[in-house]
Amino acid sequence: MTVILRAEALNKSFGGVRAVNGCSFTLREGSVTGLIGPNGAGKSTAIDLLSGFQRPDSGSAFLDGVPLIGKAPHDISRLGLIRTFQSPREWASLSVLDNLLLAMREYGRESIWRGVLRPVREAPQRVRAREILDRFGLGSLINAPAGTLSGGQKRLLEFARIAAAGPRLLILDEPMGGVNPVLGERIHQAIGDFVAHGSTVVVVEHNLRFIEETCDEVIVMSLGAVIAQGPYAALRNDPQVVDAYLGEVQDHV
Amino acid sequence: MSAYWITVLTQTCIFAIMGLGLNVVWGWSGDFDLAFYGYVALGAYLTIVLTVGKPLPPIQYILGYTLPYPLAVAIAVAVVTGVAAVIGAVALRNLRAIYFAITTLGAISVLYVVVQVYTPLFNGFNGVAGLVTPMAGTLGLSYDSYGYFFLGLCATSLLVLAVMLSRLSASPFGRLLRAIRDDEDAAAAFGRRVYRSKLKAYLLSAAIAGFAGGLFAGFLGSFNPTAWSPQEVLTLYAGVLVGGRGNVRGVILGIFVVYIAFIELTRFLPEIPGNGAFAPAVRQVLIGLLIIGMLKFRPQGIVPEPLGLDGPRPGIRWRFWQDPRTASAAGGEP
Amino acid sequence: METLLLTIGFGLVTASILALSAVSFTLQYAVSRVANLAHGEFLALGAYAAYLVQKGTPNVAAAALAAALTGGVAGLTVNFALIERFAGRPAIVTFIATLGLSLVLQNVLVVGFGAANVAYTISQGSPHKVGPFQWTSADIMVMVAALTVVALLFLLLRATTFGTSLRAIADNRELARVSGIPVRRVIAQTWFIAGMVAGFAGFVLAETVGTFGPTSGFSYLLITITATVAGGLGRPYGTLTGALVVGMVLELAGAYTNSSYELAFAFAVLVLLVLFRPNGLFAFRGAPA
Repeated sequence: MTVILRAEALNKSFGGVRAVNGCSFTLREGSVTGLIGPNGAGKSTAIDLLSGFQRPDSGSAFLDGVPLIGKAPHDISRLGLIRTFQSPREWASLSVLDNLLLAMREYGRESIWRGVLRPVREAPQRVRAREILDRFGLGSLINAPAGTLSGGQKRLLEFARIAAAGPRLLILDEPMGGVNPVLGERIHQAIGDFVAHGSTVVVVEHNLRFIEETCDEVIVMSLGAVIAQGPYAALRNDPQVVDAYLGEVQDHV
Repeated sequence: MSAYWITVLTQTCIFAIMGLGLNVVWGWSGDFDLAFYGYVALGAYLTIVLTVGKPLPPIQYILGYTLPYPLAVAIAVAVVTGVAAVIGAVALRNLRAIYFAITTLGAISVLYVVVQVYTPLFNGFNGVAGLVTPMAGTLGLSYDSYGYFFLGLCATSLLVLAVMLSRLSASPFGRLLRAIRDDEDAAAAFGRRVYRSKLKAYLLSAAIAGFAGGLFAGFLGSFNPTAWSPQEVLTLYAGVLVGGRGNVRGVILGIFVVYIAFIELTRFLPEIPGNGAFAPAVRQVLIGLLIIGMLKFRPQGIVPEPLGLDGPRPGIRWRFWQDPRTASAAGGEP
Repeated sequence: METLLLTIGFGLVTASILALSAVSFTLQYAVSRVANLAHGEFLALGAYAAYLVQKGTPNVAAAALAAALTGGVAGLTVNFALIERFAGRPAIVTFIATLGLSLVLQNVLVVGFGAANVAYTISQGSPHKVGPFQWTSADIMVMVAALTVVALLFLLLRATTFGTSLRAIADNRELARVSGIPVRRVIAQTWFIAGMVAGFAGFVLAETVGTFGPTSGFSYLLITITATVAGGLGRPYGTLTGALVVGMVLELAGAYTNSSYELAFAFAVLVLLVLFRPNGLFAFRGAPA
């Protein structure tokens, strides 16, 4: 039961507001963990801190023992931590295929010299990309500009990109936002696939039913700190957790 | 071909090379770099002061060697790229959109003022001169044939650069630049070094600018502040905008349309006695209106790039003018 | 010490003119979220209007009025013909469009008046000592005028419904709209007022310097932007302080080195600001004023 991620006493304030307040937790390798809590609990900020998009005022975090704090987002990504954003962030003017090729995180081909001197073929990557897109039902859209996809297709594209990237640790920021049940089921499957391929997953979500069905355990945040960690079934009746959620519960069917 | 048309075509080829350089930073990277023409100017100044020898007082300028023209251009490109590295390092770190534009505007404004006021640099208002028919001696060219030679030089340079940049556009690097332009946070989340990539593009564009400046110096024979006044600068930007930013062939088309059409158009304007600046001023008014009009009604240019790979192409289907196998497009906002 | 005090005195005059231009710029930004690169031309149009009036009558007030009105009309027109036409587009697009407009207006002035500078012949009066400073009567009038205009503006912002509407729009346009504020009308009125102030600033600038040309407005733009950024884009109070600071820096720099490098100093200040203090020298974590 190896620990893949350890966060220790992360603190972050904006102006006078303490967004993250002594947040600490650990993640087991291969687990699917939900990160839940009412609005303003600091979940998104915590993700920003871990992925390098914000710098904490104090505290530390380690991915496979490698310190994360102080590194730039691209360096943390190269260590294997991929995070999504609350809305799908496709590269709109690039084709769906290109979105996937870029997601494959192979950086060696992107020099100016290689681009000019020897046109790059990328055949094996294209085959793999096609395969992934077919799996997600986006095969027919392979050459379409990503900006022309519907909302649901953009979500799927996001997951296709993640499949292409093969992260070590995946942090999903509210993947179920505005998603219908059929798509939700597809996402659920995708997460299972990721884990089967060796990823560890963290899901920030308000949709507690989804959390219940997908996650091994949950981390509950409130007012910037972790107030509980454990299996959802055990925590849902925990008085502290219920207290924090009073008025915030969103049970999607 | 008449001497007039040789001149017009040579000049337009040089501007097209500039347009291609501007396209790298404005079209692919998506940054509105107002300092670009400053790099052109620097390249031109340096080329001249490296080839024409020591200044005769009261003229003053730095350096003053008599290097062969190709070597001078190469050195000029290197120096310009160095300057761009400094400005780029400052401007690209955290600045985007308006703040980036304002900072680069400030950079070129300062350069413009310093060059004019600090005479020991490049002789201030009067500028530097004396670069007459570079390489004519070594190649044994007569005065008549020189025009053809230089046109050939510029046209070939343009062609070679266009081919190289087309390839680059369709390459993973070109794709990366556009991804960063579309969403740089997502690019960072997938491991891309946003700052470093933008800086590379910036340096490439500056190098092309410096090179164009070197050719421009050889063409004009001299260089002074009027050659890079705000009006000249904006004409270039209009050309790139008209053609289609992000699209190598589109940019070349746009430059040719704007420069040749405008030169021809304003030839027929009446001369107003007492106001010698009338015709050029009208031309500038038209350029300004062109910029506004394009931005309002056709921001993607005459020849919008194909979005996606073989996806639906908006607007005119001009197969020749659209870049081959382009991985992405710039059919959107500047 | 003597030079320093004198320089500070001149700095106050420079800062006064700059304050007018910068406050106008910042009002435009506050309501339209646009950095208007044609702003310099509001000053230019005002200056040229004053020039035309002064060819007919030596009445300073008439010239000032003409300048302000011309600026106001220009502001109104630019808002209608350009800013509104680009509503909804990214700010950088409108920014470039205003650059194109600046080119158009500068060259219209060239077509109309020629490329050379025109002369302004208001007598400056002789300098007299006021405390440690040395000012001409013209200098004093400039500062008084600037202070009055700024005071009136702030009164407008604080004590009238219009001012409240303006601040609401600057804060959150959509919210203002659904709150029943006639957003489009208030914005147009703001541009009119900002244009008037800018036109007046152009008049004052032309009288102080003595000459003015078609490109003088654009040259003054960079300094204006520096002052505005120093104070925080879109924050009128901050802009005043920004103008003071930048005006002082320019005078001091110009006094101790070659004053032709004014623009270079302005840029240096601008770069430092944009790098380290993009929200202005007085940035606090919070909503804009």
